[in-house]
Amino acid sequence: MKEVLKLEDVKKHYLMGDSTVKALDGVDLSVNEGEFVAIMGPSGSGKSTMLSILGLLDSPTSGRMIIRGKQVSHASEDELARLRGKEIGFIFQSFFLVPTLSTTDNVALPMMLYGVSEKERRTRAKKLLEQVGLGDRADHMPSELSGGQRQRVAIARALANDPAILLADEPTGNLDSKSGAEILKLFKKLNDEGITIIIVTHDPGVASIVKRTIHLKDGVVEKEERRKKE
Amino acid sequence: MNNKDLIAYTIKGMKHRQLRSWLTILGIVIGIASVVIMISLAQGIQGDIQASLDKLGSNYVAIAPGSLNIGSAFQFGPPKLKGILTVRDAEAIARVEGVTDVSKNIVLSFTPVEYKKEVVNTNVIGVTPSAYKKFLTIGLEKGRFIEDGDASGIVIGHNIATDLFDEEIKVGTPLTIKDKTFRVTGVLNSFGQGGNNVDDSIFLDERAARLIAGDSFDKNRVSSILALTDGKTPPSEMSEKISDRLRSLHKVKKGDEDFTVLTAESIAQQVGQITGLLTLFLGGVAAISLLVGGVGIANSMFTNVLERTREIGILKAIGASNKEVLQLFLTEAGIIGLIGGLIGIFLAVLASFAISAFGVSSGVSIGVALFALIFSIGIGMLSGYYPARNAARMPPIQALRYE
Ligand SMILES: Nc1ncnc2c1ncn2[C@@H]1O[C@H](COP(=O)(O)OP(=O)(O)O)[C@@H](O)[C@H]1O
Ligand SMILES: [Mg+2]
Repeated sequence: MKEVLKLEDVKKHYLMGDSTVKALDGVDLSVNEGEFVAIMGPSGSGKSTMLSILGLLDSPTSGRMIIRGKQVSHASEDELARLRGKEIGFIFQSFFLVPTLSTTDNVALPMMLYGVSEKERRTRAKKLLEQVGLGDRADHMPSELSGGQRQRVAIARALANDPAILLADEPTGNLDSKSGAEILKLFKKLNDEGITIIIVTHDPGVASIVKRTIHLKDGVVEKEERRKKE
Repeated sequence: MNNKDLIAYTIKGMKHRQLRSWLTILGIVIGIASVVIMISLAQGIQGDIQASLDKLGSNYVAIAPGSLNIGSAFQFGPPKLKGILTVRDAEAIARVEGVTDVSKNIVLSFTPVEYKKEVVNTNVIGVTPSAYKKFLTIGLEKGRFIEDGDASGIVIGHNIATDLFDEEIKVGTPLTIKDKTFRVTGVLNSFGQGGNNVDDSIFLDERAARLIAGDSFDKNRVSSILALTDGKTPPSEMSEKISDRLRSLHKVKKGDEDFTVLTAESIAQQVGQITGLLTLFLGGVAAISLLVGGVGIANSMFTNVLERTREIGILKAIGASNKEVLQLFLTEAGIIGLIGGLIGIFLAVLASFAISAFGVSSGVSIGVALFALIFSIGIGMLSGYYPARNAARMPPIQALRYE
């Protein structure tokens, strides 16, 4: 199996006056292509910090991170921006769509930043929206959509540049249980189609669809569970 | 991102924040419109004054009684107004080398003029026709100028012919000035703005004017003297020569003159001082409004960037580089500056049409408009630059967490 992502002894410390908050305190992780990994743990255990570092939204205090064999610890800001746009699709708990842009424009945005032609990104955005079940909402504004629909748009946007990996931080946290279940089903479907996914969640239901669950506590990996292939 | 993408993204955002966008644009509009109006107005006033000076030609020296130096009007102490000019002075000036013609002027202001039982008061001015004719370059609309010694002919200003009486006064019409009847030999062209009442005056021979004035006007006195020069000697030198002659006649020392000598050049200079002050004042007012506009824009840009910190975080999270984020905000600032500048200039053009209707010619020159547009785009981008650059450098996670 090909390794897409690797963390080596990653630490993230925050200096708060005299004390140090150790949000991550030496985490190792290796994720292979096509995996579906859940990260669980109590609030404040460092889940979001870990995912932000994996998504290149934040930099670790120490440790190494490798994406598709490339060391990113010393990448320049421009290289990081390019990697965020190309290799990673990030999905947030509160969707974070651009409110001034239509559904299609939101999905097309990462392609625009990546330099894809307008015609091509329209076609692809349309296809992606159909893929997440929103083919009939192409011209809606985010404010005209339900939470579950907005999260689908966010997922379509995360898939725009065909990334190596999808990262989702509590993607169902702001949704009712029915929409949440549908979003999880969508993730399952995408993973079945071959996309690598790492999802932070409190939802015990997720455990039944993922093959691997990592439990964090106080900034370290407390235990890891692997489900046998059925 | 190419320019088309940048502009499309920005326009969508601005449409979404319409009220705020228009308010920011309004700030620029006010600043730019007032600057353009002020500068154009100052230019227009200067142009008008220059144009009326040009109509009088430049080869003349005017001598008025008393010393009233416009240039010293800003100094303390009362100006000396005493002093009279005489026929002897005029004759002496005529003998100064370089002087070709001399007009002895007798000004009878507020003199009753009658036509068909209708009596109106206006300026009646006695001149030496042969000399004054050369000075008054506006020319005649109808008829001819009076001759020297003409006891019954008058030349009337444009407004006298058309506006003063119920009926239009034509060449050949008899007018009665203080019991004496004259015949109109010619009507002058309109002088227009700043013509020192030429349009509202009646001109006649100096001796005829003395007859009208009677004993109330001393037979040796003249109201003012106008000397025409050959144009070979510079006006300032002519003015000095004439002053010299008058000083020795009046037995006064330099600085104690009881007369004032003016040339086209010195009048232009003194008027220039006044309009220069006016331009400075208008420019100052305009600069203040531009400054206020500029602070307003800077403030709007700052809040705009602050309010969109989350959006910056989103853009960075999905692959935008710092440079691209900065470009987006500068594009917005530039578009706001462009629209604000264009509307401001448009309003200024409308306003200057309105001002022109009140008699002051004021037109927006291409140069001023171009300067205003560049300034407006520049101030927009400059004030947008610092907050946008700071926001663009923020780590994405921090920008996303921003409330
Ligand atoms: N910017 C920050 N400054 C200081 N402390 C932080 C910051 N971000 C996170 N932390 C701390 O790091 C720890 C882990 O936070 P986080 O990764 O958000 O936890 P989780 O997502 O598991 O709830 C918490 O104790 C939190 O208070
Ligand atoms: Mg969290």
